[in-house]
Order: sequence, then structure tokens, then C-alpha cells
Amino acid sequence: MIPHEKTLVERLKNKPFALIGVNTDKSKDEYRKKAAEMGVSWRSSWQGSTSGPWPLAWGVSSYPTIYVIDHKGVIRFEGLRGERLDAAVDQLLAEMEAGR
Amino acid sequence: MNTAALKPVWMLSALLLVPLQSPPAPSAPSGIAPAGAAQQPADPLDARYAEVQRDFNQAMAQWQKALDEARKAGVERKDWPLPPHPQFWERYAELARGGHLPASIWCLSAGSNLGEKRAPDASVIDLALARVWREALIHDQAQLAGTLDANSAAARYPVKEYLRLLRSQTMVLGGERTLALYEQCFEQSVQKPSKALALLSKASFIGTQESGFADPMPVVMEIYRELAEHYGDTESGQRAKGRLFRHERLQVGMQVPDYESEDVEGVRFKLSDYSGKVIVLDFWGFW
Repeated sequence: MIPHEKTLVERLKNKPFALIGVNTDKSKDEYRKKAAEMGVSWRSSWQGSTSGPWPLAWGVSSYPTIYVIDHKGVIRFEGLRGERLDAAVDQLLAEMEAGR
Repeated sequence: MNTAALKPVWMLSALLLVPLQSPPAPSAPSGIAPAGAAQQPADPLDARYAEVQRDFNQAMAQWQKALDEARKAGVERKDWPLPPHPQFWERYAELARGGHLPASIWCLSAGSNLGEKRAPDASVIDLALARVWREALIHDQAQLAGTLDANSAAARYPVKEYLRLLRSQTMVLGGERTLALYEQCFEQSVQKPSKALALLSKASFIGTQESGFADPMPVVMEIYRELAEHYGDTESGQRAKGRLFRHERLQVGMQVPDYESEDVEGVRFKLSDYSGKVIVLDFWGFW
């Protein structure tokens, strides 16, 4: 997951795009260490556990749970990974550029 | 065979290290018990259980050895020796039928080690669950009263553990019986968090194919609403609330709700800080 997301973030660094993580690791130090090792540059909300306030409030029960949201704030996809996730993001960026 | 298959055995070995105790019977007239003897005598089946357990542990050790050898010899996985559980089922089942607690746990924990047949006798599973339920109920009542004895058998079986064991037996029990047991757990447990967990577990089960519901979602949502409304102060109630929210507000095509939180550096931010951009929101962890 991480290497793939890293590629996505680097490829789209000049685009109106944001990857936001909601991290559920227990130890903040462990997270920082691994994130540095793997080059996680994007913003991650800190939840401290899979029962943290955000996953609890949004009923997240499986991991990863991934939402793709367009520039108008509409949830457009859920559960995409890998190449299908890339394609979805590209599609939404294209829609945005086309002024739709 | 993976290492997970060994778990029940180590759990049972651990159980054996603890002296078997039955919970004190509150209704027994105090004059009958000898002074100072707070515990009832051990289960008369304990001696037979110890014998079965000794034979089983021996068989497990032999199997483990054979397995190691097969692995070293490069034998294909499909030809690895099988665990000895099926040969021991009947001996443990007999003790479980007699109400022996550790034997009941063995029957409930043997799971996939029993091979394709799983538990060969659903009535034993039913009895074994009833046996654990007795302890869970004692646990629940004692915990509410603040009198839970940490050394009692019941101390090891909170309602949560009973529900975990119940969930592992749904294939054997069938949908209808499983639902009846969830309802029993809800009705008879006395602590609010236990009742809420029973409801939440029932809803999760109804959401699976095994339950036999043709259209489970409305039923599941009804239970979540009940939990959110009346059990909102329990963890299960909070979970139900979240699942309801997801169902009602987080579907594809809906406007994403805002959320404020703190990042790893301690800086607060809102989802709406990123409005006007395409967002990938990823709930994840390294664990």
C-alpha cells in the first residue's frame, strides 16, 4: 500500500490533490519511525487505535478503508486500491480540469 | 497446518495449571459446608478429564514431531500429518455432555482441527455453549454486584468471551439456533455493556449469509438504531452509531461530512481544509 501511495502522491504533487491518512497505530513513536523509513510524507490524523474517535464515528471496521472524494466534496468511490485507485483519482482530476 | 491450529491446545494447557474450582453456591445452607471451605468440591469428571488431556497432549506432541519431520523432509503441505483432534472428539464430547467446563471449552475450540467435518455433533456444541453461558452469567451478575472472585472459573468467561465462542459455532448451530442464543444472551445478561454487545453481535451475525436473512440490512439497521438510542453510553452503542452514520451519510454520491482531528505532529486540521481538491482519505495502520 505505502509504496503505491507514495508514487501517487509524488506523481500528483503539482495537482489539486491530497492524500490524507487516518492512522490507527497504537504507538506514535513506532508510527513515526516506520513512516520515516517508508517515506510517508502526507498528513496523517492520529487515532491511537482502530477504536479511535474517527474510525468509531464513521463506522470503519475493516482496513484499509479508502474513500475517494471529488473537488465538490462528493464521495465518489469507496474501496478502490492499486491501479483502480490511481485511475479514479485521474478521472476526478480530469473532471475538475474540464470544469464539470 | 499453521501455528494457529495449535492455539486451543496451549490455551487448554494453561487452563490445567489453574486449579479447577466451581463457583460458590450462594443457596447452600452455610451449616453444611465445613468451616473455611468456600469452594465446592472439584468436578467428579476432573480425573477422567485429566486422563483424556494427558493422552491428547501426548498425541499432540507426536503430531508436532511428525509435522516437523514432514516439513524438514520437504513433504508437500497437502500431505502433512493431520492433528489428532478428530480421534479425541468423542472422549471430550462425553465429558462435555456431563457438563465439564474445560472439556466443553475443548469442544468449542477444536474448530478447524476437527477437519472438514468441524464439530461432528451439534448437540454437544449446544451443551458446551450452555455450560460456558452458565459461567458468563455468573460473571456478569457478580461483576454488577462487585463480588466477582478473580480465582473462580466464571472470572475467565465474561459475556464477551461467550459471544466469541458462540460466533465461532454458527456454522454448526445453524442460523435459527444461533439467533435464539444471541437473544438469550441479550435477555439474561444483567450489565448494560453485556446486553449492548449481545445486540451488536446479533446484528453482525444477521448481516452474514449464514443467518439466512434474505434482506438483512433493514433488520441490522433497526438493531443499530436501538443500540444508538438506548445504549449510546456503551462501546457497542458507539460502534452501532458509527455504522449507522456510515450507512446514512457515507455512501458513494453523498456529500462527505466534515471532520476535525489532530495530525501526528499535534496540529488540528479539518477535512474541509482540503475542499476544492480531490481527496483520497485512507483509514490505515502499520500495526
